[in-house]
Amino acid sequence: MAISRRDFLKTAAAASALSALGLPGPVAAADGATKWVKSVCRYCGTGCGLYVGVRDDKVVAVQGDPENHNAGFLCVKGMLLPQIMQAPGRLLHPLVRQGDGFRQASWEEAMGLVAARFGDTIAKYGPDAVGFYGSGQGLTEETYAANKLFKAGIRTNNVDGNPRLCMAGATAGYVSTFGKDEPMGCYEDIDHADVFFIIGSNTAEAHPILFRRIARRKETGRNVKVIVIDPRRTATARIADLHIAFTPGTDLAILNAMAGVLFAEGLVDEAFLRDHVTFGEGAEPSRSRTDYERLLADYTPAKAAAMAGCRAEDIVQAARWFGEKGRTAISMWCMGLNQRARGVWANNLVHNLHLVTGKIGVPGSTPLSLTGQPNACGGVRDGGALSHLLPFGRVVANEKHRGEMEKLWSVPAGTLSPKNGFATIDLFRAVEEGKVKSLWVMCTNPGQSLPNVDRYRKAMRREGAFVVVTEAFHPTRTSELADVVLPAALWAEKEGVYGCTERRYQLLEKSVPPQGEARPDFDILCDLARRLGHGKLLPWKSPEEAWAEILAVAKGTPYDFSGMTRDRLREAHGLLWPLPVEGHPGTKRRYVKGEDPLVPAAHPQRMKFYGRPDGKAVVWLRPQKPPEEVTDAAYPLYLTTGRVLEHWHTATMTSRCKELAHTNLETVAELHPQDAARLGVKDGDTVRIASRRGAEKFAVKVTDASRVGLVFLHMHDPDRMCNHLTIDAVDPISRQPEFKICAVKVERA
Amino acid sequence: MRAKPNTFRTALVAAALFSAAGLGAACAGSRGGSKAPASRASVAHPQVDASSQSCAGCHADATPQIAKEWEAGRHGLSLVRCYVCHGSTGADFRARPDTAGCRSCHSLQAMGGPGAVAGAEPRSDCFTCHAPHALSAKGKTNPHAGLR
Amino acid sequence: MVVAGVVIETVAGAGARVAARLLREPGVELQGGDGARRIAAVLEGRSGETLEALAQRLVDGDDEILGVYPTFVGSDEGGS
Repeated sequence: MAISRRDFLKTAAAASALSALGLPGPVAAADGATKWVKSVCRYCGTGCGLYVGVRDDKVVAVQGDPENHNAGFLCVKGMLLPQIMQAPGRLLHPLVRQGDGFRQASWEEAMGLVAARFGDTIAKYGPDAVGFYGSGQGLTEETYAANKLFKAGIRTNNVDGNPRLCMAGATAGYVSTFGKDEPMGCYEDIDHADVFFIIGSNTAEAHPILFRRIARRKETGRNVKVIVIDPRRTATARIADLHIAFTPGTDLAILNAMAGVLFAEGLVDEAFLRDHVTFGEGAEPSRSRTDYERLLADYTPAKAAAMAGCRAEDIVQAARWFGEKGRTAISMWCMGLNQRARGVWANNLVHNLHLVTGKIGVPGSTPLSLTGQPNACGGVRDGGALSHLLPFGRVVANEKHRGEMEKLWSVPAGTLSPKNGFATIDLFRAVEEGKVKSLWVMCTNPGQSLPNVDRYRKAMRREGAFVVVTEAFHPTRTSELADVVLPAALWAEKEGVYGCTERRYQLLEKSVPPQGEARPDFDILCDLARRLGHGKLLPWKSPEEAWAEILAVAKGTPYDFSGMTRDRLREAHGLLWPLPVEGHPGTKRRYVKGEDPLVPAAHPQRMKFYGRPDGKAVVWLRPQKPPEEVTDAAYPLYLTTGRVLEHWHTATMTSRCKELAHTNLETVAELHPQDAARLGVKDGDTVRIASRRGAEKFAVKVTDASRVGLVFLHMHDPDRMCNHLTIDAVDPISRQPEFKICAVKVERA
Repeated sequence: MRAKPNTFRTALVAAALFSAAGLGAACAGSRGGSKAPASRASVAHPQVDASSQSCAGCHADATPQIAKEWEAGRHGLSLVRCYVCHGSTGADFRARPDTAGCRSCHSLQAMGGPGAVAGAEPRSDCFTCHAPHALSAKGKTNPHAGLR
Repeated sequence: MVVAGVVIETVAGAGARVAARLLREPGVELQGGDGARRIAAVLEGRSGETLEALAQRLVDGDDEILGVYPTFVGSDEGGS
């Protein structure tokens, strides 16, 4: 349909006036020749479906997909995706280091150099002298290819990825409590929830489309209650019926106290406890309910409130709302719980609330961990691309699992190393020590995103370290440190599968050709494999060919999605696994008899946690433990880090968008008015913030949304990196760093 | 105020645009017609330092009624901030949003029915029914009935 | 419905202030400017006379507006 005459005239009029001033005219109205290609947003783990509008081989627009879970909605970042594709700063050609800079090279030269260096390193020092650091933004097929090449070809388990910084705590939480990773509920549970328990998540800014759905439910549901637990009064707290602010790191006490109230006031589900729950401490599920209640006795609301710096009556209220019989309750959390030295314990304690009340496996009741990245679930967690994992629920340490993978991958028995590889922080420490000499970094930005970042930036530039980075943009804080930078195809320039928060796998179809000489990571990895003599392991000509193999590897596992053929994915608007046979509709609620095809029809109870040997979930006894670094006289404030709506991760993409480049890209220090007064600073003043690890200057923003004794910095700014200050202490179980809490001093600069 | 000459009419006559109906573009013959110096395209939005303050911060004082309406409405709740519809304060600033932009996030409603996505143009000016900023809808029937 | 593309000349340096005031002017749609003394806009009105009157009102009502110069005029008789 042509544009109206009036619109045409106005466009012409505007163009005329602007050209009289020597300015470019407005964009012409659409002429109807746009092709729309089904895909998924590049950004967060919400995984909004969208259509990419293409004209003349360029991405010109996006529209939310009305038939996907997001009902056609997109947040501002997704809406502005077209602007990233041809932004200046796209890396168009391979680069090879020359002194302090780079020179352009051909693909042949760059890949030859990389293969030679990796090959030499392996020959001289063994397979564990190389490593792969991947990403929850890589497509499933790319991550699968890398995992197979390094573990089965090169034979090192030094394969890890940035989900280690992001979701490892949630993964280990689900695995220790339920036996296998990934939430058992889905987004639809939001539409049935009576109570929202949001802890350690600023959903309004980090998962805006889910926040919209929560707000809508609050409007349309019956007496819906929203509880927000966060040291800061975030944008999410605007819809809270109860906001509990607390001293960072003390939320374990609050969660235990809530459980105590549930027991004390008869809000526990006795039958569920009897049929579905076992109790454990440490790593052993060998405790009793009595042991658990004895631990809870130490966490009265008053005691917990004193520890946490909040009010006892608020803890009681939260518990009562959560536990009220006949009402459903959904928990949602993100980095506030995961990026902690006790992140796994925090996850366990949230699961405990659902297990003791039986509020799980029914519409509206579920513990739903929110995923940060678009494909942490599908590619890295489910795909097993971490240093202790193998695909789809298998682990390196399990001989039977290794044997299964060796058969599936057609490699001789004993090919796979039985030794866990280095998890992320350990991997970069190994680079620092010279143990890992050659490192491949795919689709992520550790030179900005690692905690205590100065230490690891130094490591990457160390004499003897050889770092290869595949990236769509240059420079980034990582590519600037590399020895070889390879131009990677970006988002709409390649096809593959993403798996988001709710076990939804969806296909991103390719919309446009890559810019310059950029190539999809899938191609680059297959090329590397051939040059290293492992072409047989990565024989595919396209991600679609690899998908068939991936389905075969998933078949029969608790992550079985082998019914998700490529054709089915092309036609669908996302599918939720388990989906073990073609034609199966997918699974909204896992572990639930009648809904989850992996629960036997004859199972006597309504749920079976089949990931665990006895089919029961574990309520773990976890005490309150402080963060790794607490405040003291020298470093008297807590630093916490986080995100803002406008930017995603290290802003390599969002900073290219006109509307976002000057909106909240600069990291400012959010200080409570009392702290600001004490320091003698006001809005716009500059402060120097220092931790035991580093220092940086920031402008001040005074806000009573912060908490006395707490300063907040967001993570997105490449020029004022919060990670100069953060601590690289890790959770002993998940190896995830404690980005959320460290001790700092703040001074006027 | 002293009466000033009607530059509009003068320019029309001078450029013989007066009887133009339909197509035809001509620069006015007077001093407004020469090309501006090749300076960077600048803003129709007043020059402000947008990096240190958000739109909402300044507009709470500059346009308080609008700011209040926005904050109390759906876009305020979902943090669909000023720049989403109006662009940045740079050359891409648009005082009146183009409703084709609404389609990015409201494809269902903009298309007039579920399932009709690709190829169709927005059904009409969204602002016909939806008050700007408050975005509350006028009229009794909801033409987007059944949609979230 | 008559549409005109115009250049609005202002006192030197007043471009941004004038633009801010014109934001609320019905029938005037700002398109851009050189940031100093010229603003590009589109005027819309029922007829040519309406636009002339609008242009005169702008010039008379704002000391910093020196002139409103059309670069294009089109008419949309019978259109949508």
